Amino acid sequence: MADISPDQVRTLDQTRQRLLALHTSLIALRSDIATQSPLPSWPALQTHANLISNNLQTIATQLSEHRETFQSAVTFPLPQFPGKERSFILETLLRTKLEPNVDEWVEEGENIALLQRKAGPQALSHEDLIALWQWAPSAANSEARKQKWGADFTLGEKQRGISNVVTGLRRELVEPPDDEGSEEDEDEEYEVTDEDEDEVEGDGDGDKMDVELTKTETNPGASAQITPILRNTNQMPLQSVHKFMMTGR
Amino acid sequence: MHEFALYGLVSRDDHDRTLQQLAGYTRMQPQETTEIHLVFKPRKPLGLDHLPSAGGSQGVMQQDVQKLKTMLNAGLYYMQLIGEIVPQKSLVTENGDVAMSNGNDDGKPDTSAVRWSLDFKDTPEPGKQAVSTRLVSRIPMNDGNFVKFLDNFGYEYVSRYMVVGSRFYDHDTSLFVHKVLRLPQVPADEALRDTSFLTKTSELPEQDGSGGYLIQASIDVVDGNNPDLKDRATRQLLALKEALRQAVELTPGDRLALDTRVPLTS
Repeated sequence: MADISPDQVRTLDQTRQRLLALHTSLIALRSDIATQSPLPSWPALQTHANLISNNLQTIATQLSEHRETFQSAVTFPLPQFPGKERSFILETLLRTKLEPNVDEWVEEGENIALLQRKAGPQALSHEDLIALWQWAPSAANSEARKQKWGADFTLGEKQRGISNVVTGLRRELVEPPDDEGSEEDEDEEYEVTDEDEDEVEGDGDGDKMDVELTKTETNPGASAQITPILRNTNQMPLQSVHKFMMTGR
Repeated sequence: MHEFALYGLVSRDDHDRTLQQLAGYTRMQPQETTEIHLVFKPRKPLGLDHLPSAGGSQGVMQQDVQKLKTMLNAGLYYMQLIGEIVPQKSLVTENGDVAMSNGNDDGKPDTSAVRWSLDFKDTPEPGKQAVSTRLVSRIPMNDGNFVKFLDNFGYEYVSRYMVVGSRFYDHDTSLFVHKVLRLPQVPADEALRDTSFLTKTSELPEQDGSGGYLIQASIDVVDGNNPDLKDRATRQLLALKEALRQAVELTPGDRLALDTRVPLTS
């Protein structure tokens, strides 16, 4: 039995710190949701989510970096340990299996991974990839020709009416010049957006802003699409392949 | 000769990208490699059975008996006959340019030759090491009845498999992205001659069902006991590991999985 080195102790301690940070941010999010009577604003929630996912990520990298140490480490009670008084923590520490509910989570996660493997799009074959790359430049080109560049709206958006477009931008937006429309029309529009917006289009612009704000607040879940990336889920471990290569079985 | 190596996994989806990254890193196009591996196993020494087996009160063997047993069993390693498929069609066209083959036209079976060599790999050196180190030796075999030769040598045929992949070279390092294909199992005599499967490589079942690849980065050092060379090889491999960190994770191999010793039988 080898003694644990100071390096390993530091690693353990670092992991503990990270877990503590994760715990804190989770608690903060929970209390925010619980206490604030209208829900916290969308940006605040986003910040929380970012923080938590960052924490999770650092923990994951930390764990994988020191996988060897953690996997080979074992816990055992010293004689001095007050086993009677602290039996709960003792049992928690000595537990080698996961808690049943954690076990369920793991299973759930593996199932999701499996489903994604099965249903998820398989990688394109070599030929398909080449075909895709051959098709892409011309497709992109033809798509690009349909647009007027230098403006902030697409032509399609302009046809449908700019005031309905949700951009979330507060700066002045340039409309694409209209080929079909008369020249004056175009000029007028430019003038309006450049100088006289407060007077002439003041209410319109304000309306636009209002619409944007309310819209973004009412459907916060729309853009939060979760696409977890799972790799190597089904790949055979290196060891088994090596074993086969060495012994032929 | 010593081999210093790091190993990693490349999933099927990443394979194409990894090849391109390696091509960029090594500034060369991948070299398609196909190898047939025939695994041979040494026969049990005859005297082993005559030794008293573990018996007695608590199964404790006498010390000298145990010693004898280990002596007889020591040095029993798997050997491999590796046949590299050498496509013999000339890739150089009349004007001296190398023809651009898109890798889809597999070499015609009648024009490909197999270059055989007898391959011995030791078990990697023990201890916690930054890279896997082991003694290797590869002897070219040109002519003769290899199976008979190995049979007389005390080796019997176990099975065969095929390794296909792409090789890259960067200075002294060779990078080999490969996967293992299972071959139809045939008796030893036919195993050498039978190359009918070469025409339908794509139909062979893969050992790893997910279609993933392995990557091996290795440096061969003639005198691996020379500390300077050993240091240099290790440093180079670690630098490579660092450079490819974003693409693949390279780690020293599991010693037990790379063990070529025949398990002690008694």
